[in-house]
Amino acid sequence: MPFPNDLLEQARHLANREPKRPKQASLRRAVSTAYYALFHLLSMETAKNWKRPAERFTVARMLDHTPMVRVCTAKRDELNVHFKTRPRPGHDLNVLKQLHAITNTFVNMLQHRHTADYNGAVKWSRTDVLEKIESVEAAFQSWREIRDEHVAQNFLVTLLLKERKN
Amino acid sequence: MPIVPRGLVDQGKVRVGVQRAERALAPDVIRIMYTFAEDVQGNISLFFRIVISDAASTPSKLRETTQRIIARVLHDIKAEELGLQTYFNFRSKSEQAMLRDPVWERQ
Repeated sequence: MPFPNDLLEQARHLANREPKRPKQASLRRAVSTAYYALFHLLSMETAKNWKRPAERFTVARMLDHTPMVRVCTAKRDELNVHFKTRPRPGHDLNVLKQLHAITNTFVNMLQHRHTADYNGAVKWSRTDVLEKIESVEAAFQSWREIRDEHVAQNFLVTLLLKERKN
Repeated sequence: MPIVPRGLVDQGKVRVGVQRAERALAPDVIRIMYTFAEDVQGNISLFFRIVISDAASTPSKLRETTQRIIARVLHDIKAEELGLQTYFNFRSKSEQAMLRDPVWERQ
């Protein structure tokens, strides 16, 4: 996944761009870029399931932030309920924990990206921004570990769901 | 602090939980501030601002430190019972000294 990985690398570059006094512009763009790295990772992984490569970028454009955050919130909350039932330790539980980490990171990062992009009153620190980037890096790692699992692929399809009005 | 409908959240429990977490997490945690506000999804949420020590915020320790702090705060405020979305922001003591950001100071 070169593009999402490049975005993540770029987020780190922006966070460390000014060694002594980081500019708010660099920090805010770093947070936003880290979010977009995760957004594009999930979008492109979803689109990869489309049989014809030529249309995959068009399929990726079907994914939208608001429906995605709704799906991620619902999945994360559903998993929280499941974890309360004390499921048996093992591979399946580990997969669900990784999926939980990914959905939770998406929910959090959408909020932070919104703050970074639209709320100029909030000052960012490099420590905070690096923490956000590391959370996305951890989500990337989680995805690498579970991408071939049925629940992970099922989750990707649900990202395309839109809320019906009727 | 925005007004949260009475009965929706037991703010006293949140305050006590945060104080407990702050004590337990010292000296890595200097102070924990929080605000109730609407998030991007329109849900009343808890936004934490946590000042950590310079030692705890070194790059090699940062992820471990913040994960441990988040877990402890969520446990002590009984986040699952509250049913609120929570968001965390961190900064080091020296960063706050440089930024002199009043919303990160105790009033």
